[in-house]
Amino acid sequence: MAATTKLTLWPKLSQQLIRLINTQPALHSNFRSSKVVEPLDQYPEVEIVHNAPEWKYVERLLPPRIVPQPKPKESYPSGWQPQTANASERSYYIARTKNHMVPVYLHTRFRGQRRLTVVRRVQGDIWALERDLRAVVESARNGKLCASRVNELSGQIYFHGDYVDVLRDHLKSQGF
Amino acid sequence: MANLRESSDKALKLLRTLPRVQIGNLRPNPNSKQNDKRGRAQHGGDKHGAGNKGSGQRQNFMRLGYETGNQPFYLRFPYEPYYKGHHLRRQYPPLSLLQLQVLIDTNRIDISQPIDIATICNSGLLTLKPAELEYGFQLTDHGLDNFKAKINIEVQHASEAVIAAVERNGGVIRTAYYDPRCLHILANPKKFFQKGVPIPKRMLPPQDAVAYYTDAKNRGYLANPEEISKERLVLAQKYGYELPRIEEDPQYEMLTAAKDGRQLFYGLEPGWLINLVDKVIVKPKET
Repeated sequence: MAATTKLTLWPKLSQQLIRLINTQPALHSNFRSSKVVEPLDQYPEVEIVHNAPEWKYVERLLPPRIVPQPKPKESYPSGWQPQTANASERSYYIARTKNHMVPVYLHTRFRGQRRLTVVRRVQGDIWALERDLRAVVESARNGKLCASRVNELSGQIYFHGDYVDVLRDHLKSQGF
Repeated sequence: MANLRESSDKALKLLRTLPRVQIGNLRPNPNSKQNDKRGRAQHGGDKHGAGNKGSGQRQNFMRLGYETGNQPFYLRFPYEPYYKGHHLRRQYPPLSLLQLQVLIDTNRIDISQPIDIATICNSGLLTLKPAELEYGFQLTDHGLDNFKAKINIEVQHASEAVIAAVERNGGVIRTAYYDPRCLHILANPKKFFQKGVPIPKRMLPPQDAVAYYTDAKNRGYLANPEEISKERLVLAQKYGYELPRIEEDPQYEMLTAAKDGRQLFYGLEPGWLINLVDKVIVKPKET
């Protein structure tokens, strides 16, 4: 008799034990694990202010939805300057990035052993631009030849070596 | 010979229809790569580069640092805790004066309002990660000579030269401490407002930061204001510029705007709840 009761009790107990060991308390979402609403008189009294004079401080804290357009100024002390080049004047054109910067970048590969200068967002006659920029880079190299690669499909020019500042200053002086 | 020319013509003709030869579609020279597989047969599988006899031949690779019985190099010297607690130290990611000037020139920061962490993060170009122990920005001196803006800025750390560069232009700089929870809110205020949680109180600085933020030389937010105005004059004399008079400035109100030591946002008090949908502020009633 005793043996049969043991047998009937045992599966239940073991199941409970296994559940205890194997399951963690459920992680509900923020909403489900939040506190239950208590009677309203238990909360501190509040005042709901429409058209509050402090709303201007809130608006100041909200980020702009799009990248703002730079305002024209007399001088730009940081060295940044707005694009002045007209696309119809030259056979080529370099668009600014969404952040209004000149798209000249440095690619470092092989732990800095190979440095490539990349000019991106080129439109129009990329070969003419490559000739012009190569002259700039070669003058920065004291007349030594420089290797370059043109990808006319994606509008990118690669120069061997770090000539980011040289090319960026040159393009800025050309109004790009 | 004619046969050769014909085949080279064929190759050139084929090349015209193929994609451009570039680094992406080249393959290594023939026989320049070693075969990964080792031979198994009579002469192909002799030593496999493992040498003749001994530990080397058995490929008995020793554990890292083991020197076959010598006291290993990594145990030879006593331990010196140079970096003890390094992973717990507060970090202040740099923001240079040049970067700040670029942000101002490209209209990413409005200098007609006081600048704080929220303004810098809302520019969308800099981020703060309080979870990685970043406790705010430090203003560094790169681009110091070209800095020309008149601003009211609050950062978490600034050197003397940077303070001088800001004050020379008639601006105001303050260093202030924020606890990680407040930093998390300031890194993205909009997300915090959308949660519908009251604005918390800002905590006071930890013990080891109190000395910095109560020092007028650092323009600490807990320093005596009279001492700060004195130090402004002292710094102007040290760096040899005439201190612009803020009292007579048309932007006096903006330049003197400051948060309370327990306040998180300009003009908004702790305990208030901001409802962005209905454009309503819920304020607790004073008892």
